[in-house]
Amino acid sequence: MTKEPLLLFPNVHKVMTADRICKKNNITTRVIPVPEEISSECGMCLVVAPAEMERCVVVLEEQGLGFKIHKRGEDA
Amino acid sequence: MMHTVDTKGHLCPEPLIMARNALREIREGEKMTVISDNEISFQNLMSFLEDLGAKPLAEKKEDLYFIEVTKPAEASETADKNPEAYCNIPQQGDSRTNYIVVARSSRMGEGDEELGALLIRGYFNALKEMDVLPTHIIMYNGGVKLAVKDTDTAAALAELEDKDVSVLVCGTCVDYYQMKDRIGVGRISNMYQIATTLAEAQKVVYI
Repeated sequence: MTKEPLLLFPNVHKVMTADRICKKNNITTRVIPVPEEISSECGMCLVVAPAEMERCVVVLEEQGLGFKIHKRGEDA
Repeated sequence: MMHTVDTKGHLCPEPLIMARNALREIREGEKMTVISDNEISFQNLMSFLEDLGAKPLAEKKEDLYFIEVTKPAEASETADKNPEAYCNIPQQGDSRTNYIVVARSSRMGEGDEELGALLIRGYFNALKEMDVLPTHIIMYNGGVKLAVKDTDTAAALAELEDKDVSVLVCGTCVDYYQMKDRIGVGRISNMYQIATTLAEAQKVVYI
């Protein structure tokens, strides 16, 4: 199980947009299903390498994308 | 003369019942041979006879299994009464049921292509966390794109390979898409290997 923080978005369109933005900025993303402890719905979220997290947050905020960062083991 | 029980052509639980009934007819410490022509029945017989306390010893000759057993002083009552419970027991020493995953394209499902591409990435990243892993993953046609270097699907596939899952990438397809240099995981495979793997699988999961 991944221990890295998860980037959670309000819907799958935002996930896809965020993934595109990351790709354009050479930030490697991993798509994983939203863990069941967070939501029982079939959703996807993004994981980025810790080293790229800060830059990722900046570019996503620049684009006005709303998201939450979820650290494993904490409540959503 | 050695007692023999021939279970060829019989399906579970019949071979188990035949073996149990024959064991009842012989004396304590006497030996008997059970013959089976079916891998699954053989596995079930082994578990059943082991639990009965009959100390099964197996030998495979050509396509037949010969199991030598010894009548125990006292057969385990639970096993003796309930041979049915031993049907379809998964193979010992292999906690994975035998299934393979086939990726026919680089997307999951039909409909929106971008969504399909996202879903399949989620699928492989979820698959690698599962307790029951496939024995093989086969990728053909657009599916080979999942093995391209520096993608999260290739990373997930590499982790699956580390867990002893065979990852087969269709060579013709890699050639067609001219991406041989970009494949980062798996074994480039030919249609004979793919056809054989598909034929031997107990269950195929197409995604």
